[in-house]
Amino acid sequence: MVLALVSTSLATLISLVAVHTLEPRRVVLALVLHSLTIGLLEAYYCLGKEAGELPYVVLSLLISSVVVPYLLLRLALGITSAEERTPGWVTLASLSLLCLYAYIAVCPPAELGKVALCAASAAVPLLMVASGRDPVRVLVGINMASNSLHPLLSEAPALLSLLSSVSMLLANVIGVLVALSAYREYGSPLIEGWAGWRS
Amino acid sequence: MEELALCLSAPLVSSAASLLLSRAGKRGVQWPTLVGGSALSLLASLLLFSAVSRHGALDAPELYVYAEAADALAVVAASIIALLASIYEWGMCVEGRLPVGVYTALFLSLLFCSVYMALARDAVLLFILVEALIGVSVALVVHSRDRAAPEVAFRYLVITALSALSVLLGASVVTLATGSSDVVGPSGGGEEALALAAICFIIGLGADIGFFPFHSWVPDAFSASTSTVNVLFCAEHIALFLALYKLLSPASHTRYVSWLTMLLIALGASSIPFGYLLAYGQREYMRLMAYYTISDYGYLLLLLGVALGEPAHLPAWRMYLVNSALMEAGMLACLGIALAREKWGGMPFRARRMLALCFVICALSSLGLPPLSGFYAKLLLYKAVYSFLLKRTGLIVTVAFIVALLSLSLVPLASLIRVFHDLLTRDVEKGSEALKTPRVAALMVAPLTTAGAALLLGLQPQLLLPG
Repeated sequence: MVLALVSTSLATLISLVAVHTLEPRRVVLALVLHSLTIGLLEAYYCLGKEAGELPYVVLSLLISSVVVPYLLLRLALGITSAEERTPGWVTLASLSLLCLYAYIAVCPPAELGKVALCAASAAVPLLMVASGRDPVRVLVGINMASNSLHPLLSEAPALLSLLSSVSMLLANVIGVLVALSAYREYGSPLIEGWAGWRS
Repeated sequence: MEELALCLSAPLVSSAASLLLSRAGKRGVQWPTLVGGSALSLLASLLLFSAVSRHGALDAPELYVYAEAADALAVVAASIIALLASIYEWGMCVEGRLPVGVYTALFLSLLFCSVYMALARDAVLLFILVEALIGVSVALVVHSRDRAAPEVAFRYLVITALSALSVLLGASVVTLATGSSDVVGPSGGGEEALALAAICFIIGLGADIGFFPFHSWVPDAFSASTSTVNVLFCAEHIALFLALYKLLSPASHTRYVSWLTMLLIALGASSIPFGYLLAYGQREYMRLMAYYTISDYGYLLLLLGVALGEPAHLPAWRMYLVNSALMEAGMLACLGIALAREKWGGMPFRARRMLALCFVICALSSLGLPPLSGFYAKLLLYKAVYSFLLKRTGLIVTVAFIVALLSLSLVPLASLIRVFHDLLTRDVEKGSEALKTPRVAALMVAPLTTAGAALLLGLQPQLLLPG
């Protein structure tokens, strides 16, 4: 339980750093660290289960911390995006969420405390989606939020956990392809610029 | 068990075969693979339906699937729509952004995900399938040559990826509260947790399906996608609604079921006028259909709420689900042909007349006019809503609600008749963007089949009420 709390807290701090990181490649690096933190926790959980489940967890870890970040790095290198300051409201919201996370960690609800903790942790990277004008940051935000909720699947068979990572990989492949198509079609690295062609 | 495995493997193997053939550089075999894979899936689903009708429900815990006759019928309907869409695609002769092999693989993968989702009994597996379905659907949207497609597809991806997180949260809550992710069997555990999970599922799948107020991506996606993809999405909606029903089932055994029922009825009752009124103002066919579809989701939600409260109305909900998907597929196919006629340089009057007739049959069936299939679906819907509300709200409110629903049906009638008139009377000049000559006979298969189904099922409505 202590390990889970430490690991989730570390992942939350990493996502907080990612929210305030301007350079897309560093954001992808933050995703690698985030995935490793969560993935190693899942691997630890798995040690207490049947031995046959460990390969699934390792494969899942490889997908989320190597393959998906590699794809997003390719996207970051393919799209030249301008670095922009994080909006003030994002900083305010992220600090509020951090306080909420700390409160839940210290005084967990009697029922579903783990769910509340993971949901609060997943809410932080969603700020990247809400504020993101850059497709790389948006995709990283979605991946981090998904990773944060993954420990909740520890009760489910490890095969399903692996399948979940595979389906997330598929969504990322499609996301990268769509973002590159949009960049080629509209000539803008920013999501706002993509909608601008109508006017 | 074998029938279940065959039903799941037919589209998956066809999809893999399509990718392998594409890698081997065999371009000419892609269309036969698409149509053949869809036909094979339909055959497998018919075998499943036959087996379930003979032996009762089939269960395969290793695959996390369970099929009753009604589930098998939904799979048959999804496979029919996919087959019609594949023949329609072959008739269109349109090339998109994706290579043909990849497109064929994605098309069949969507069918695989839809079939699996209709049969799955595990909350975590349903989340995985939702996520996979999102990826495939987004890729199919971006296949269109429409300039808006990449932007719309990215927006669609973000919204539905966030919705998948909500489904994941709900699935986790169910697993932690009940100790099992099985949603078909009896469930115990915390009632509050199950109610919370139900809210997560409604938000998550609501955004995937696109009912009000989670509909923001629907009109743009309809407008930017190819008409084949729009037809195919009707199969996806059957699966998504079935998934929603299964995921809400554990909460329907708690004391919060009445709240859940009222929430679904409220969402449904707001979706109907919203979709109809916005559809009225649309001049673009696909946007009109998008809003019309949103209102149809409203009817489905309304009836789902009633069926969760009183499971005796579940067959009516399933009948409405299958009928509305088939009729919408027919209407979308007709409008897709009408939109493409400019690029072909117009259409002969006979073909236009046939197209307009098919459209009006599907539209009137969807609106519930006798003697078409939709009449029975709507009749059962009104009966279910009437008996449900009568017990809870009294005669005056119930009658007022039913009269309001009936009056609202006049709004789309006006828009759909306008489209019918347009299809029949207005010919177009050849536009600057030319398409290859279509295979007209193949194109007409989907409109004719769905119009024929509306007539046949109108005469034999019990076909949609298995068991």
